[in-house]
Amino acid sequence: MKGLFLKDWYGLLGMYKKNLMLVLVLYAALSLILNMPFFLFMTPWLLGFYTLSSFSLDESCRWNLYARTLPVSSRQIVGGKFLLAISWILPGTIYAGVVGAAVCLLHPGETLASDMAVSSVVVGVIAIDMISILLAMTFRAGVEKARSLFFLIFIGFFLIIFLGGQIGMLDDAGLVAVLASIAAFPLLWALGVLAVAILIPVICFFLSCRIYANKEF
Amino acid sequence: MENVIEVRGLCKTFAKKDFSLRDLDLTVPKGSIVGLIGENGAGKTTTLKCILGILHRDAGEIRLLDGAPGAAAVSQIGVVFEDAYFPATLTTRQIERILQGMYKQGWDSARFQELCRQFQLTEDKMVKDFSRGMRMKLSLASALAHHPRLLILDEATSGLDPVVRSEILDMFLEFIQDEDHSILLSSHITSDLEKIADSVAYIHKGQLLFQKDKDELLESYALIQCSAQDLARLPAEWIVHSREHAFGRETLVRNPEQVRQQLPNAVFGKADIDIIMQFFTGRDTK
Repeated sequence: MKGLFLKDWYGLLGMYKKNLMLVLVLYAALSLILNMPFFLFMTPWLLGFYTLSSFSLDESCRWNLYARTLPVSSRQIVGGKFLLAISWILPGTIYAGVVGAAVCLLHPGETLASDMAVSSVVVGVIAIDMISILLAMTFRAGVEKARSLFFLIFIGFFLIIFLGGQIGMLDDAGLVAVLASIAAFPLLWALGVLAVAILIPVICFFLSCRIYANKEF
Repeated sequence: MENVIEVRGLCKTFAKKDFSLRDLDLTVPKGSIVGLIGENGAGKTTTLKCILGILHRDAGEIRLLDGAPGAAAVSQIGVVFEDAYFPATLTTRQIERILQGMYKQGWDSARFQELCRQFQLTEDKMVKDFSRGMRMKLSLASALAHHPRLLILDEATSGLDPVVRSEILDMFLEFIQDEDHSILLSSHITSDLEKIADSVAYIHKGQLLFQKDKDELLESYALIQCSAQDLARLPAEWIVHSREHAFGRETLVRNPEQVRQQLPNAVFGKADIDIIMQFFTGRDTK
């Protein structure tokens, strides 16, 4: 797995190092100047999406065909991609938390630095879950189709919420009930959310292994 | 003789491409070079992919280094395709680290570096900056550095200049010197196979037409020039294919010695692998 991991890191950095540095500097500068630390929540997502570009690199050089002639199993190939995604999203999460907290400290206001740090962790976990779903979709349909499909689902989801609000299907009563339930059983809710957050990448990993094992190149 | 590859009754169908491999048998004896020939789309690459386990076969048996195709077998095989399938921005040094991470103890860094020096592959140069010849040399160095018992090469010499090709062919001959190593080589360049192959397998439209010892193959066919009337005197099964052109009629025949006795006035010429392929292909397209 080490070799696969190195291959993706070298490939991505070789291709996007300058672009990535520019984005990170730009995000930090914009957050600082505009006093918009929430802008930094994009970073874990962005880094997660970078890892999907490793699929495009693989496709362009027919790596998948070559990889099947090397002593690595399909499970290791899939696992390598999941680890790659986590290894990029995690620094993005730390970056968002640290730089965001710094922005909050430099511009004291409504948002606390500690809130910023905690929120970054939540965003990071959501990014891992969403990118895991995207990885499974990419193994199934290829990177371009998976990206398009994911954005369509994403837009569709928010469209349903928006339209639901417009026609009065979603009212404050439902939200209040959920908040009340969280207040009544905080530990249960925390464990439930944590279980779902962990289960999503695990399920996506096993699904991806199954998809990849049946693939022919 | 021990075989490193044994394929029996291999079938693989691609419904979308309207192509299938049918009941294909192939053997690669230990210590030998087997050349796989056939026109474009005949099924050479499909056969190699099935042997390597990259494609799932529909039917048939494959034994690869005394086992089934899979991770255990591929760790003892070096594979070279028609190009280096590494991401374009990787350097030779990075590729070495990557492959070392995959082969672990099996990887011989000293051997890889020695091959890179021999091939004049610069450590810090990216794949995209290498010429095609250099990329093939990089593939070959990567395939040889873990001391494989078997090399599987798919059009590995195509598109290379004669000097590089000759260098690489010499390496292949060196590789099998100890008679413990073997090569299965698919190529369109039949002159390469005539130089180095011990036996030749000919795949045509998804079927194996023959697998023969190379010398025996070259001796068992001849290209003759004679009239249609003379040709009619030969048994039909001796004639592979006959074609007429501006300068007369050329015919590929089996059993040259017997044909010579039957047609003493015919002009006999050597049938090389190219000629044999052309006539076998022509037979089916007439």
